[in-house]
Amino acid sequence: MSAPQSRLKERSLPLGGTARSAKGAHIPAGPPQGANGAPSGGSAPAALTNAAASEGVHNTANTASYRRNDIRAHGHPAFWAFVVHRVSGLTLTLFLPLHFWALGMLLEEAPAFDAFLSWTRAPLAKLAETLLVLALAVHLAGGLRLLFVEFVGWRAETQKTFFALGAGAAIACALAFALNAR
Amino acid sequence: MSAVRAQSYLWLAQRASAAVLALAVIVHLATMIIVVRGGLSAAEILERTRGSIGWAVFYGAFVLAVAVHAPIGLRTILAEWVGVRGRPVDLTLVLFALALLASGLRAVYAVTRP
Repeated sequence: MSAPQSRLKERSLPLGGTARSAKGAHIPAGPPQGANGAPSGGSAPAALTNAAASEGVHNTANTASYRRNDIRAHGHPAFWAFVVHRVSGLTLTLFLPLHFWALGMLLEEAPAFDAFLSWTRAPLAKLAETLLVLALAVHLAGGLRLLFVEFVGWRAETQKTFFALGAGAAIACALAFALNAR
Repeated sequence: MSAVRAQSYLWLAQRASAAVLALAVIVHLATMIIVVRGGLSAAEILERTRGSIGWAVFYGAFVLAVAVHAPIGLRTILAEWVGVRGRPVDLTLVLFALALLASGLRAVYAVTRP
């Protein structure tokens, strides 16, 4: 797929810092970098570094250049959006089996499920639940941003607005849940 | 199937499932915020969902999309952050996807059966 690849190259520029760094990276064909969220800009440096590593790029100067770009990219809000998206996704993935197991109790043991629910009323469990709702909301916001960037368009000047709106909406969801929860 | 083609399909599956999940998660968040107000209980949940074909279809699609989306995301994280990749990892993730699908559909059946 050449389209996602060319889009990746274009979009990695704002984070990569220079056109040279993006051109210098050996990016394999296809959308794997896109699958890493690269078009958000956030993971582009990681994708470039990985691409360099997996393709056996041993040029020391190039590798050093990627690392410098990585550090600079870490100061960009897109990098933190990428980290939050990834960590929230991982958290939700690890929580899913527990969620399904608990709901599965309703097949036979409603009292056991109610006992489980009463355990979740403890303050720490409530806090964990609220953080899970925050993770879900923030992953939704990050996912919508990625879909928008990939299928509608990337505009540097709107990225920070996206991050702010997404973070605000996600925190509002978590607060609404926390305030409603009993 | 070439590796590039496989990656392309995974990318597409991740985006298609994300589109379904975007709608499902909005409904799920709104439902959670509303139903948690009265305090959760087995009776309260079952009263809302039991025998409902609408909720069964909704949660069924939700689970299917999650079972596609989460393992692909996990695969990326394992490759990039842990450095593990390859056929054994992919097979493990397929099993994880199937386990998520089975346990998720069991949960859907538990709350929506007649």
